[in-house]
Amino acid sequence: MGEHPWIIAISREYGSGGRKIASILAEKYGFPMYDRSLIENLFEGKNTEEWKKYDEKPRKFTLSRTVNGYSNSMEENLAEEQFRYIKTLPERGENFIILGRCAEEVLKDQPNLITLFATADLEDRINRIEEVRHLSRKDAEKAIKRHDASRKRYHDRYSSRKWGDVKNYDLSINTSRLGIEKSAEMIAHYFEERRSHESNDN
Amino acid sequence: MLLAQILAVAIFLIMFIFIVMDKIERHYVTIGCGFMTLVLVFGICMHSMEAVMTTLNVKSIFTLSFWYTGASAAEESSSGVNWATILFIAGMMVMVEGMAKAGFFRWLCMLLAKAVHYKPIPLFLVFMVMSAVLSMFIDSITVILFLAAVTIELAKLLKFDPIPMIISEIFCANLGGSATMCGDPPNIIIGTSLGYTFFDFLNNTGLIAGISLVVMILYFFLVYRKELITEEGMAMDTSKMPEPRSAIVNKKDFIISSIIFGVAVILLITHASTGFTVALIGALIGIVTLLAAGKEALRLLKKVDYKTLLFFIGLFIVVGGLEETGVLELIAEGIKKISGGDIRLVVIIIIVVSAVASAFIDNIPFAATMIPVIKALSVETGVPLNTLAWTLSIGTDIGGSATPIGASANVVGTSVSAKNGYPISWGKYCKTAAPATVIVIVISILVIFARYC
Repeated sequence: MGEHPWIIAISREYGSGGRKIASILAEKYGFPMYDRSLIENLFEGKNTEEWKKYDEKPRKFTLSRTVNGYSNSMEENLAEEQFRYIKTLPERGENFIILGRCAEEVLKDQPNLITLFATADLEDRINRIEEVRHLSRKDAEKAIKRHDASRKRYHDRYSSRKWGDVKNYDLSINTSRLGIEKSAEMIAHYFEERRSHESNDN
Repeated sequence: MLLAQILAVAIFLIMFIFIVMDKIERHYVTIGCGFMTLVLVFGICMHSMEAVMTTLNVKSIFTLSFWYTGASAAEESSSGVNWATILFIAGMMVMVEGMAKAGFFRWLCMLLAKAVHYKPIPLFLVFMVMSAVLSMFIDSITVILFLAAVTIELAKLLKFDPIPMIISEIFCANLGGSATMCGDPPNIIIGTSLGYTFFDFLNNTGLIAGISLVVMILYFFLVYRKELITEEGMAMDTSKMPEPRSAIVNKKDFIISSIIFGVAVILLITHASTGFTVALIGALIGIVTLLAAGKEALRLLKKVDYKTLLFFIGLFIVVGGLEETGVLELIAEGIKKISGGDIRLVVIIIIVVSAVASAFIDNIPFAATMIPVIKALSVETGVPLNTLAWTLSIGTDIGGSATPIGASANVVGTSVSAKNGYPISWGKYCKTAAPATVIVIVISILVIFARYC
């Protein structure tokens, strides 16, 4: 392991298979994967189930107010605590994979950060959500629309760049072209190339 | 004039929308909108340099009555930027910063906790009273910031849920703030704009707040008592609790800041008889704190919340736009028509509209806007201005308690709780605070009817 840990930050559209790619990579390299479970590490593990309701959600702007940097929005408070915690993760010197949570922005100062945005054709995303969440086609479409809008608002609140903008990521991949497994392989290949490039430089 | 009125209203609405959206910091919003008012409304539409000068109101600072009113009652301040409010708030900010740095608030919280032997129910009761009493003199944001933090610290040690206590403390802070002229920004603005004294408020809104506090202590006790009593907490060894003394960062600073606070309280209580205006008291307290801080003065000054002061200046200019163009008189006429001039109906309209508006939007712009309205309304309907002023004060101060965004203390309290792992959702907050607000509003209406109508 080098001086700086390797971090793979994956942003994803709902139903694009971003989570699956993250877990394939985590298993392949034995890296811990941080997603919603990250909440369990916050607040001494208190009120975890309640906090999950606010995870990766944008603040409800008509119901939120900020005074001297303090916000009544639980979504905002959770996001801030998560960002604070995420920033401490590289200090452990351990490589890891992180899903969403504006990680590409929060960890932008990390030299060995690989950022990825996963998308897929709408039809494939609908089929995937129907299958994974056992929803009707109509409900799957609605869920995709809702989650994408929510993720975009959440991301753009805390990031200087736009969610899904190719300039924001090292890689942007449409998982419909190669399928999720092959896409994961391609990303693994990119990671290994980056790692060997980095060690050659050193 | 019509175009000027339309523009003044449009700028006011844009300001409110941007404040609610919370995308741009609110002081930029009010200063930007204030600038637009000066240029577009007063300059381009009205071609009135006089309106600009009246609204900026700088010359009022150079009058004797701004600083000293002699033995006579306080004078009404003219329209426009309320520099007395700004100076007073700035001075108090410096003083509070000095007190916080010395560890005063944490010490006080710990001292009271020790005095009640760290028992959850007495702690709950005593913290509610302390929240109300401190908020009578100090801004409720500071009170809640420290009280909520200590409550959480004690809750972790004593194994009880701090959320009921924090919600009760927030409510009592707003209630305490309504009792005095210096307790809440709307009251400072109302007091300095209409020339009221500390005791004017204490005798009127203070009485309502006092009665309501007793009822609210009983209410919150009945609602939350089961959540506060835990077997684990009752069996705690309290000998390991932090000593109040440990909160004092620097003994010398602590003594000095306590004396300055004591002097500030005395000056505020006696300002009607000494003739010192709140502007003078704010300036004196601020300067003395800075002198006492010595080398630390610059650091204290840097900690002053300039953003809030700028927010106030911009806000007063925008409201000045509505005032100079006569829009607020139109609102007053509207209220007169709806009420038919019936004093009781006027009171109900003002208190309910103020309370509902303050529950969802910042009560400071609302109060600043409503002051010229009640002045005009008093002239048009013959309802005494005092009655309308106390009604407006209670409506804006208490209405803000109903929701987590109604007042600054609510936002800070819920945020401190969340940052420590105790989420307070809208549902959880409103479940107890909204009925409590309704109860206090009903009490207020009854007292106002009994005393003034």
